[in-house]
Amino acid sequence: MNFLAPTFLLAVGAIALPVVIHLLSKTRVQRVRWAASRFLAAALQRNRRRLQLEDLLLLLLRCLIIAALAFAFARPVLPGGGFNFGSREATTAVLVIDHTASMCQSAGAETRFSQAKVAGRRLLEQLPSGSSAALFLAASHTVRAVPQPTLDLALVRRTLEAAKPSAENGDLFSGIKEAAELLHPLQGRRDVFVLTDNQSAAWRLREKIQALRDEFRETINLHVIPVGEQPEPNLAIVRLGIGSSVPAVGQPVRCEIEVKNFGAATAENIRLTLAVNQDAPLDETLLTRIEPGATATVALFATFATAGHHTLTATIPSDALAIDNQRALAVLAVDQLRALIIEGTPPVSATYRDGFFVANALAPVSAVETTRFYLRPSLATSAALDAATLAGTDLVVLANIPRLDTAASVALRTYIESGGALIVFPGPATDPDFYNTDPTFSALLPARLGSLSAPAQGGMLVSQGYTHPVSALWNDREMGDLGGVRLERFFPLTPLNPAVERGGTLLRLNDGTPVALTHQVGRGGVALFSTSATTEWSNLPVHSAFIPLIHRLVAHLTQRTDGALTLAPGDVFSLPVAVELTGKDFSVQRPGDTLGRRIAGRIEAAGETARLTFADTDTPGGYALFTGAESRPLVTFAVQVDPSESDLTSASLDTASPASDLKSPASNLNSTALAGPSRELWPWIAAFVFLLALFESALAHRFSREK
Amino acid sequence: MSDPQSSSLLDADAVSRGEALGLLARTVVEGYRVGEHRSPFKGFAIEFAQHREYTTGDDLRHLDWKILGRTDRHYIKQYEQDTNFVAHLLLDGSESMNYGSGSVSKLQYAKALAACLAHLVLVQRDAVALNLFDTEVRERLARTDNPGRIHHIMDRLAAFQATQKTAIASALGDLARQLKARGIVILISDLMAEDDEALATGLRQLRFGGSEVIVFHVLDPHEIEFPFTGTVEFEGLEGEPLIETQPASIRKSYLEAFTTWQRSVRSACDRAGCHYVLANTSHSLAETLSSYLAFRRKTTAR
Repeated sequence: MNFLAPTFLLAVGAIALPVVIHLLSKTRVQRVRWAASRFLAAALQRNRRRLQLEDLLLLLLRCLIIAALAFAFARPVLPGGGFNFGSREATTAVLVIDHTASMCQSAGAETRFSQAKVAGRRLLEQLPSGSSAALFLAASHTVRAVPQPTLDLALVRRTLEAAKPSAENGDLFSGIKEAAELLHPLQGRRDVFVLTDNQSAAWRLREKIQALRDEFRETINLHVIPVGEQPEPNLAIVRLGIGSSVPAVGQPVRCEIEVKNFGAATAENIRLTLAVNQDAPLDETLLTRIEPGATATVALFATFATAGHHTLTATIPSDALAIDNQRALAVLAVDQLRALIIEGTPPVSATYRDGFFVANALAPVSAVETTRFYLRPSLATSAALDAATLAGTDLVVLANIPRLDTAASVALRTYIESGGALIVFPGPATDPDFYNTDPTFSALLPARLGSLSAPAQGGMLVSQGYTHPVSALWNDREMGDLGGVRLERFFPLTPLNPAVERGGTLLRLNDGTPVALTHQVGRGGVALFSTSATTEWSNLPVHSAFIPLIHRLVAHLTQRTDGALTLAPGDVFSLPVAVELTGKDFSVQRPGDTLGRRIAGRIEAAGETARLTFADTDTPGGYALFTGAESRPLVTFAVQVDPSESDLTSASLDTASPASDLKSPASNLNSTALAGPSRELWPWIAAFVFLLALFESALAHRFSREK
Repeated sequence: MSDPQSSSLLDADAVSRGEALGLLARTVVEGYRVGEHRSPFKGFAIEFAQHREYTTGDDLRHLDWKILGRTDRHYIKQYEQDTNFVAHLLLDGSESMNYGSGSVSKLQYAKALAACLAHLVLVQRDAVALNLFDTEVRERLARTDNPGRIHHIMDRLAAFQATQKTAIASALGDLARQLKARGIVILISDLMAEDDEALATGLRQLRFGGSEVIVFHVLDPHEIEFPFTGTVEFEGLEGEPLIETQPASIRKSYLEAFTTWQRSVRSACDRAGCHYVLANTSHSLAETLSSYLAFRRKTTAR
């Protein structure tokens, strides 16, 4: 048995009170000179033994009441399953609570995090007398809730009670490391208790944790206390992205959603919905079957009524881990994107010109509808590449440009770095030396051009196995087949680095030679093709995939600048805004916030500009930030749970897992060490005191009756 | 001049009521002069009572010659003769009589009662004798029928201080031996003697001598009701050890013991043919005295 407030045990000394009161009462004796002493003596003689017994009984009862009260105030706790400390030597302990999103999983009433809090509280109750403790919440950021070990275990307990689960990802290494470094310089017994759901992802850095354990083996005991039983089955939305084109007002936007089944059983009939700005769902589908471990990719369509920032939210029914059953994406919808197509050679006719196919792919509508279509291409020569023209342009396409003058190159580079998008198609007029050597222009390109040549093995594009988000669509044969594209001539591309080749290969030939590459330059994006935008060197411009390819590519390159609008839980959202907004308050509408906006901060000056900073991003979902009374948000952003947190698979204690490695021989730890609930006894003692007081009153009343 | 304290012993109300009712001898008393009370001596003066046979030595003057003439038998005529009585006031002056829960102690009450009785007796031309005792008779005033002696009696009463334990039985025995003629013995005491049987014996001795005995049992209301609360230390007035207790817890037992004793005293009085009168000091002297005298007047045969 332990006591939560052992100081009150000193109050047991108050049992002397009834004795003192009795002695004090002696001083208030009334003295009477009495004649009938013989009857008094006779009565007293007859009752002496009874009176002594009654007095003794009452005294004992009153002492017992006071002792029981002191006992109750000391808050005794009867532990359920106890943690065996081996000895009662006081320890300096750090409780490291797994604070990752997987701790939100629940089989019903209690989440793993709640269970960890209960286990932590019980552990604090079981610490030997005189122990001190600190409290860390470990995830991608380690929160030092109680940063230094304190003897005030009640403070630690209250802090633990107040802790809220988070949606962060991460592992336990940093938390354990910080705890070990905190305890290392101290003296005496030291323990680190890790309370975790033992999710595999939490032990990603198991080797490092093992090394850490070995390093501090002599000074610090490391205990892993698993909470929860078997991992729960879990379905999660692991990806939500814009699949087709630029999100534009009035245009159906294809949203690609991936739902993965992390459970051991087949999931059936899962309703998937898609909503804009927390409104009613615009589109939905039923996923009839997802096998264990499989991912279902579906496309739903959303339409934006107004230009500006919006959030898309995909939702599946809630399950054991609710925070990954919804995924949000911040989208900037545009009215119109202006594309400037720079042609390298003068047009021969209206249809035989460098930019013809690209212009028609960008706006595949009739001439009447061109002005209303969200992509509005215009054709020009390289003379138009100046800063003023580029300022009103969302996309630049270079088609068969031989070379650019320095001013145009610099203007283009400035444009790209500040968030512009560029697609480069070489052609017969292209000077590869300029492309490869011009210091300004070549720095924009993801690859170097080889000599013009005919591709080997027929120049066919590979039809499957794309990883690039633009071309991955054609991995599904129902979406079309890129295998029908054939190149006759091209400039073989040599990627600038392996990273570009690995992540930026948009298209490739059968032999693996890249046909198109993308990469990021500053805040902008650049795509480089190896063949022409006309049918001279390939049939790509007339292939059925060309239009969707161009649209998806435009979407990819122009939305790239909004990458900062997707955050991980706990990240700080920071956005440069117009300087005239300095000093204005901004409000936030958080995910699921049905009561409207709440003031969230003030826009601060940052040098010559202004910056909006918002840090309270713990909850996954879409956030909308507003200034003043504006009805349209200034910006929206989305907080997304890392898909790795959705995999609730446990690292088993019975196998060669990191958790079992960490079972210190001194810890005597087992997986049910803290399974039983501890019970506070003070309510029972209070009831006992109440009954004793009643009994004492009744006895005192009975004894005081005439005898 | 009499002591002012002594004159306060006479309760005006009690005296006036007592005078109205008088103190009639309940039984025949042997007086020494003619009074209101029947005499045990059958005389020849006033009122015929009975005849009896002549025996040698009888005065021939009282021979009924008419009967002798008619029947030739010798009968002596006897007459009833009124007489006065001597009231022997026997006042307990032991220390236990000093107790008083209110403004009046039992001794003060008893002194006042004795003074009133003495006054009444003297007023109706009877004689009174006063005996103050504790372990023995400490003060003795010879009998007197002079009403002017009442002040002397009251002075003696007022001057008396209780300092000793009680020994009622020996006091009663002494008195019984000293009584030469039958009279009225009025015992005023709390009767808190150590030996109740000795008290009964003393009373019987008095009665054996032919005296009428009236016992005024003087008790304080606190002794009768025992109303104490809290913790009380009782100090015995006659040298008993200190007793500290919570009276409420033993009240019932005390009252049982006290009532039993009171009942035994009354029973002893009844068996000895004595009048038992409870004199509760919370009651006025007039009330106590008048109620008893009224009772006595009603029950006395004339």
